Amino acid sequence: MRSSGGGHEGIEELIAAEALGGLDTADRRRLERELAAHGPDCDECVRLFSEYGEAAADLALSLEPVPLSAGAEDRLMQLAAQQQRIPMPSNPTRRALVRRWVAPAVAATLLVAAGIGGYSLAPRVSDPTRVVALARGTQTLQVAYTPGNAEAWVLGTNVPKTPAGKVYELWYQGVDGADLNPAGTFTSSGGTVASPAKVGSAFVALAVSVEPEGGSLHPTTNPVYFARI
Amino acid sequence: MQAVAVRTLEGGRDRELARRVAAGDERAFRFLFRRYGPIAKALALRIVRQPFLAEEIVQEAFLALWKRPQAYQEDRGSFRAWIMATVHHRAVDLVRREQAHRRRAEDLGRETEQLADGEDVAQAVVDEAEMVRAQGRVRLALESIPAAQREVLEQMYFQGKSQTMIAEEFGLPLGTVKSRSLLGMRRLRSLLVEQEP
Repeated sequence: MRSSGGGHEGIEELIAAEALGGLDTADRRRLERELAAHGPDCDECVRLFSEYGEAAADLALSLEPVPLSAGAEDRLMQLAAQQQRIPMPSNPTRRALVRRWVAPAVAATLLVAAGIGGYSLAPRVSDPTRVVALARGTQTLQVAYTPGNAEAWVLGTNVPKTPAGKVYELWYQGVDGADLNPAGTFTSSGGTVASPAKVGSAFVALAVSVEPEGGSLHPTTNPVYFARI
Repeated sequence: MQAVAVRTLEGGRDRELARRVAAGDERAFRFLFRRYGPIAKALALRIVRQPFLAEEIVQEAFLALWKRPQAYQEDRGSFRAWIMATVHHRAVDLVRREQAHRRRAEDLGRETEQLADGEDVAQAVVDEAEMVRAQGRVRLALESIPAAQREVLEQMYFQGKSQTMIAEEFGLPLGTVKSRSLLGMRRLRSLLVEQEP
């Protein structure tokens, strides 16, 4: 355990704001420089990150909880069953511990810069979720996905009711001019839609068409929703 | 003040559950999801303003834990702080990246807020006394913070705004926003520790 011996007043302001997610790019770089100066073993920096992290997280408790949708837990478990787990290391180093805690949130965090021995701030997101809105007049249907990951979700409100014997089918186009590939089907009872889908690791356009029940290998009708990335 | 605050008894139970998740215990994973999913969704919903996206963010956060359980280190703080930070950052990143998307979402925001406000079943979901006490503790602490400081904290944490954005929006010097956020956080941290059972 040691302290860097450097003052912490300036860095405290940055760490407190970082815990709230409020730092701008310039200040995040400043924080990165300050952390590098203090070094990865500075106990005071670790303490400040921990305590302000706890305080910031407690803010969420001032909100009223919002029930999860029906089936959310089962969907999570289904997705979890498909995940390949990364085994726990047997004896993590202190630096690794610092990195894991302070990079807790996938982001806003400290990463020990490999090979140079100092801290660096991670990009805010390591696996950014993107959202594409597919327009249809004033309605929009959204597809949330992570680049490089085939898993996606189709999300929408006020989606017109699916005609009897039909389904909506999502399509993705890998490159310009290529055929549309099926990404999954879903239905709507005239309200909200939340349905998993599988898209390609990269694509330039998304579309939704109405297809016969069971889906089609290629679109058989004109798209009712469309978006170019 | 300890470097890692052991906030309540629930902290110890969460750590044990997280250990079991690391060992592949699905029941422990389900329990943590049931316990923190609703409040995590409330946080994400406050920021992204779309229920489906909020739930997706929460699911991703828990999936990340399942896939890489070592991401949470119990000696760095509570599980609650970790999962809330994970959800918060994902939500803030989403809204900052998708500004155009957010503008569209604002139109749906009122509908979303009404939905959230109308769901009295929320309290039933918070079925553990520790969580209820923690909520009261945080609300009390927030009320004790000067309004100007509290406003800055809430704008940053719940609206996903940077200090610069707040300064511009409220016509305040950036230095004022920074000092208010530090003073507010110091006060909040102090109050929450004082109220530890």
